[in-house]
Amino acid sequence: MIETILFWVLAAAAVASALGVVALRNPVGSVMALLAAMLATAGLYALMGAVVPALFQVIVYIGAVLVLFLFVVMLLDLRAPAAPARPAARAAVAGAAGVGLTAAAAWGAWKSFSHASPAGGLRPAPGVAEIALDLFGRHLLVFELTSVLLLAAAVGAIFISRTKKRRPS
Amino acid sequence: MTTTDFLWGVVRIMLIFSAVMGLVAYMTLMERRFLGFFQIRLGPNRVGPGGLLQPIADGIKLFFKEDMTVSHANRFWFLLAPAIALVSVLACFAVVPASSTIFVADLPVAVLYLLALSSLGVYGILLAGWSSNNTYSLLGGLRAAAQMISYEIPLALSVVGVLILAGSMSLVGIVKAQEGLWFVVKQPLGFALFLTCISAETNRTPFDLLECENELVAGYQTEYSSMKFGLFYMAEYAHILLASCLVSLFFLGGWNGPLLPAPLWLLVKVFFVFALFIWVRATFPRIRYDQLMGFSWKVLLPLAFANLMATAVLTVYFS
Repeated sequence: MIETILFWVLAAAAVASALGVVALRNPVGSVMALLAAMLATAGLYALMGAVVPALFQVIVYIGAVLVLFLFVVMLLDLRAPAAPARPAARAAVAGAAGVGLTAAAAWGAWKSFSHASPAGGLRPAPGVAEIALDLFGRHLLVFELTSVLLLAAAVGAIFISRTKKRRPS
Repeated sequence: MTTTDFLWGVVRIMLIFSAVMGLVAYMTLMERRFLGFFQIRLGPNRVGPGGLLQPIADGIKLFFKEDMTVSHANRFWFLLAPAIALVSVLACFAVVPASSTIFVADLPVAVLYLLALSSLGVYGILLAGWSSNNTYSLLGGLRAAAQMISYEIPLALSVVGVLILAGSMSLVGIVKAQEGLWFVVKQPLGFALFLTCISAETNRTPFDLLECENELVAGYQTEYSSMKFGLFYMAEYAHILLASCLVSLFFLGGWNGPLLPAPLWLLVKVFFVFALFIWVRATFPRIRYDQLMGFSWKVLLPLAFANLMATAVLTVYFS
């Protein structure tokens, strides 16, 4: 009973805040709406008994990624942009593409409903130990390759952003 | 869940909440008196015997101050910011046990919960700085974000050493693993790293660059008055209380100790850790911003990795 109520509250919050990300004019508002959407999704994970993914969702996305978004938005001091003049033809094309994408996503979701089973019937969600053993056992190679990729990205970012040394004239 | 269970849960939450708020109030007094002693003066001692009623007087004063919202602020976020700051800290106390039986919840993943919740606190400061629409406040907010993210990484890594030794992520389990020997003996480097990082996380001197009264005129707090400022103040001291509790629970054996009842032992340890924080505040000057960042990334992070590797290797070797 309580789970059903919580599910609908969280699901509604997730959808509403996801709409807010797109609809809000103020960029800071958009980032905070994304934060609310992430929190609601984490709540849904926790509701399914997957506490560890829920907590990592908060630690990684809200604790690190979104802080960076907010940091950049505030640093650039983005204001809500004035409504740009849209040519009618472009608006029509964009609208059609939007409707098409939404229809495709809805169709996909509808198809997957037919062979969905309630989460309660599955085996219990794995805890920290199971996830760790899986990650550092079966998927060790992929894990290490991913960390090499991230290292390369970090080195690249440092290389691009380094300040050029002034030569003594 | 029966109704009795539910009511008992509510009672426990109220009890822990009152204890935390009471401690927070008297920590402000303790800090002011101790700072007074460190600076060879008396500190506030006029209200009540020995100044004991000072926190109540402060509360009344804050309530009756004019509650201003500057006209150029982004009202919604301006009001939301102090609430986020306080709620994110108070929610952490849900998993902080005062003894093996006194707690709101004993999560098997309590440490992850703490990391997740405490990472929300930075949004309060960032939003406060930005929504005040004031250059000094914004600078304070941005500094806070960069600082808290940088120190979160060595902080989390220094806790992993404790997790390896305890073999548990529940705070009750971690304290139970320290019956006999405190982890500070096995993890001296981890203890030093944790203490340094958590005082940076709580934004205390020598890491208080985000308020920094002499260059940022109190940073993100500048435009706040009355109880909105009071909420930030409470959040700050609740954060320090949380830090003192975590240091005691992770490294100083929590409530383990002879004779005295368990919660009292924890209180004694929290008292000494907080006294240490005050001592540091009274002793060290504020460090420069580039030093602050360099210290985290170039000193603390490699040390935390070395500590983690050594702990893991030695644990496997001796098992």
